[in-house]
Amino acid sequence: MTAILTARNLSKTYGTTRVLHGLDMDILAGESLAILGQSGSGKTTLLSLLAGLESPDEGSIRFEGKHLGDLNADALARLRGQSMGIIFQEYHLVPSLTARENVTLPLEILREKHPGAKADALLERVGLAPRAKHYPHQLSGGEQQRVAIARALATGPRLLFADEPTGNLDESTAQEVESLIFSLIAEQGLTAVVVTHNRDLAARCSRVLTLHLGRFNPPER
Amino acid sequence: MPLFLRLLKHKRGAWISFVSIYSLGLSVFLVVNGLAKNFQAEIKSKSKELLEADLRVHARRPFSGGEEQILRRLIPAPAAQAETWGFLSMLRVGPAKPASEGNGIVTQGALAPSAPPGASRLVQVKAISPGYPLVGGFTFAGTSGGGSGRWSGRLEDFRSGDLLAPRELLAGLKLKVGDTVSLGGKSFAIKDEYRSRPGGNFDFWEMGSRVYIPLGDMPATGLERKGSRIFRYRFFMLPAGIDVEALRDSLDEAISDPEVETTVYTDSGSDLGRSFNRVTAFLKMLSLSAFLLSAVGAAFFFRHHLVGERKTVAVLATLGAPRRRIVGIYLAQNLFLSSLAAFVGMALARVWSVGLPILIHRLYAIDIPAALPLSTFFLGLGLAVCTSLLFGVTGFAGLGRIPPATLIKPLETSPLGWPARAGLFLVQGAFFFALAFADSRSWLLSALSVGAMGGAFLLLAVMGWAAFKAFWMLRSRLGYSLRIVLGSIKLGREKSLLAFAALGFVAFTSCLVPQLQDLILNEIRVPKGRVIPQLFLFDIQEEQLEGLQALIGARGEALAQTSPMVRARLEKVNGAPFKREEDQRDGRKRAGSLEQRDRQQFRNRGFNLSYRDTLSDAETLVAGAFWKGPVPAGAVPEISMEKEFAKRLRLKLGDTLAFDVQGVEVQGRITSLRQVRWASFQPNFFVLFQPGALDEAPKTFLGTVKQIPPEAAEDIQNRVSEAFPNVTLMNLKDAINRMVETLGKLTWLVRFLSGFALLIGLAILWLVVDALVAENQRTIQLLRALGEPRSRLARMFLIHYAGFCLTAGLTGYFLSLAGAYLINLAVWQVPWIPSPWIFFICAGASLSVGAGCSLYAAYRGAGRPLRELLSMSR
Repeated sequence: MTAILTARNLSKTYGTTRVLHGLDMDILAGESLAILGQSGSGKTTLLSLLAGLESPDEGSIRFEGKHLGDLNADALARLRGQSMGIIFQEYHLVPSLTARENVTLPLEILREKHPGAKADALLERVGLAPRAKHYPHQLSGGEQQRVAIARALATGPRLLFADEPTGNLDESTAQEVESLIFSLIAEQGLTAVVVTHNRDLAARCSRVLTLHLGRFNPPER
Repeated sequence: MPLFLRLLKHKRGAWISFVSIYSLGLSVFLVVNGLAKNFQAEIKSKSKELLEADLRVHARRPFSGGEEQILRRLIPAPAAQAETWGFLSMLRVGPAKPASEGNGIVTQGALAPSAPPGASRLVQVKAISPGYPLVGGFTFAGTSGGGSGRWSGRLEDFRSGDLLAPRELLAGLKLKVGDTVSLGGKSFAIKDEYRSRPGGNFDFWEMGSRVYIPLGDMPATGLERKGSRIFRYRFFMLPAGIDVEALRDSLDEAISDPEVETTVYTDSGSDLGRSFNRVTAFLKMLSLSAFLLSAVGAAFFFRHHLVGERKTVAVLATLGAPRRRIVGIYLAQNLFLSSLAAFVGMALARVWSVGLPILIHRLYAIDIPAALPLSTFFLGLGLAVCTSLLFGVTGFAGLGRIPPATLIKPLETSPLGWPARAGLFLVQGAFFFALAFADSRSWLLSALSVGAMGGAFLLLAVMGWAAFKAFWMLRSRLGYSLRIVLGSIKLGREKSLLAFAALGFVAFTSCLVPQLQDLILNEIRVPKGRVIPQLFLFDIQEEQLEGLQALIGARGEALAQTSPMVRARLEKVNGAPFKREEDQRDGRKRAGSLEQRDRQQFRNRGFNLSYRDTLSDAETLVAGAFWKGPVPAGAVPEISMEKEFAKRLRLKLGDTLAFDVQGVEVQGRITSLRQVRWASFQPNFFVLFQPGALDEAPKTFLGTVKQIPPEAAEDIQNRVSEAFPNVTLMNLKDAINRMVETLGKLTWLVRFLSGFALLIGLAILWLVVDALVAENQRTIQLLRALGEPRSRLARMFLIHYAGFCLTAGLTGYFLSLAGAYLINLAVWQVPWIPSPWIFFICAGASLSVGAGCSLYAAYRGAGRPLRELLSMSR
């Protein structure tokens, strides 16, 4: 399998705290990779670098051969919109938009035609078609996360990032959401990176990397 | 540190917002009040100098023998006294012509265009008796005598044939000390150039420069004739220990004619104080509106802070804190913040109080002490705390009703219902009304200003909501960025509505002031196509009419619109004494409110009656029928009255009026009401009699000369003043220009204060934008994470804030247009086309403010790191 994303010698420091120490990693096309670690291990920082949400202090990241460091903010935003999907722990739905509008949002940003049809299909798929016209505050946590999953998949990304996707949910809802995510990854043949401290969730991924104090344990080969 | 402070310590945004907005509004209110108080104190401390005596009695006619006796009887000896006469007249350059050539006796010589006459100017003459002034004195340029620079205060050296004039008059006529000028039939040598004069230099509506001559020279001038408009002033300095107010009341009671006015130095309504009271009342209302705006803004931010504290309140309740304790904590916070705002406001007021007197001095040459009185600071503290508590009641009342369950499920509705909120709104309105009345002493001004402020604010909020609803209905057809914008407005609706109303209110006040100025200028300026007279002549004696017409005719022009004018006093209405009835209605003699004082003054004024057989083209009949021909023998003469005048005197069609015309009673019945276009500058009268009734009454005439070139007008003015020295001419163009200039100076101050309201409105807007950006931070970051380029985000901000500000600004503009239209309808009724410039400036300024907000929002919103979206930021 070829690497869809490669990272070399990634380091990141916040203030005087060095969070990541020269990490190397490859994400292979079609795999689901779990980044496991305790709080403060640097896993979310790693995800924010991989998804292009911020830049590393040192090192490089290539996505499908493109060096992220060469892209300006707008080009990086375009790349994220076209090729990546992100699921957040806190869902981050736009509170003033309905569930359906939240799903069409990335499509509209990319100026795709007929975003509604795709959104309807995705909402149907995540089981929220009847709640399409509801606003986020009218949905439960699990429902909001399912809308967020539909939104992350709306543009047909090649790489899906999930940041503690079930961290805010109760156990049974968390299991439903996990199942949904993994069935969608499988259905759409997605490459996925899941950041979590939940070993059960990590176990459902095809590969697990454990991060400890900013270093892989054992180092990625 | 007490708990209330610990809970507030980290809410920097809340207290900075509260203190900055509140202190700014409070500072404007305090500085205007403080300076007005200073000004009144200054007047009070110099009241004797301003009045030029302890007591002054004046009338627009000679005092009768009976009145002289009363004065002698009631004014205790030994009282020093002096007398002056004041009137408008024409001052001519050069010596007076001998009586055979001028002085009202027209000869061929005066008609023939011989040597050009000397230049002339309309002046205000003060003829002064020996002993004048009793208080104060002149400051001279020091060009005469020993050049001491200071007159003794007793004019021993001021002898017959001397004249004192101010610099601007001498410069305007290219005269110098020692030159000869003439007034009526008497020549005068310019004795000195005065820099300051008794009673102060300031006169808001002075029609001409003031010159002083000896009273003993009046007969030689020949200017005192029947119907001459000469005011006689008697000044008295009373022995120590006399109760001046009691003496004034005794004189008022003994002298029944309301035309004889008695003023004592303690009357706060001295001439200067009275004319300034109106200006300061208006300025106070403006400062009050700035304060109201700031109070609303500060209260909003405090309520917003309380909403953010709901979880803390729920925690405190869960931990067992009783409701009273919880409310107490936040009351203490409010008291602390309002006191802090009061101190900052006072410091700011102290800063403004240095600058404002400089501006006032430059505009009006009046000196006002800059230091604010101590009472202003106590007023500030009390006002800040009370207003803040009153406006914060909504928040406090809701605090006790927040259930601990808020910790589990957020409270989505306000804990206070709308009837309670509406009731509070009314109480707040009543509070501001009381404040406005205490400030202005005017029911009308208070009702108008509080009504206009509250109404405009409410109307703007409703219009803002309506505009939003209209956009919301189109929501499904709009792009995602506009939907997000509308959504964020909806979610932060209270903030958005406040910003909309504040911005709209600022646009409303900023646009209303120039619109009203425009309207007033429309009223006094002559519109294109309408011809107004160039010269207005008054004090023409009946026997001079023919000669005057001949003189003006010889210059190729005509004396037009000659109208008789008869001085009279309204004695009875339908057989009942007019004055007594009105006094009972008012309940007391010295009126308390501005309106009462106005009514009393209006009622006591004398009437100028006239008669003619047709309506002029400036008059429109609005009720009844105008007479045809002179009054038939034995019939009661008909009266036509100006409709607003009739309304103010509570007179109606069919009322029978009895006038005292120089001791003779003349009766008439009101048979018609007229509307008069006063800006026509024609001889217009409040009361017209049917011809025949006043034919024998002593009268003078008014007349006009139509629009002619300035040189020709100057020539006629000079020739008329030479041949008929008692006739006074007013160059209307000059008079209008002077009024426009005075109005311009007044509006400067108004604009200066409106600037503060603008500043407060912008501060509120900025704080709201800041809060909205903070609230929408996650959405902005999310859009960036989803691939939205910064350029499109910037465009979204621009659409949001520029669109918002433009809508608010234009709503305020159109509201000001409606306000100006209504005011015009009620007051002036002049044709008026709103200036397109105000619209464009308002739209441009609103867009610029919106663009500024967008830039700020883009800087604040788009600059946050995206990693905050991830779980580690929690």
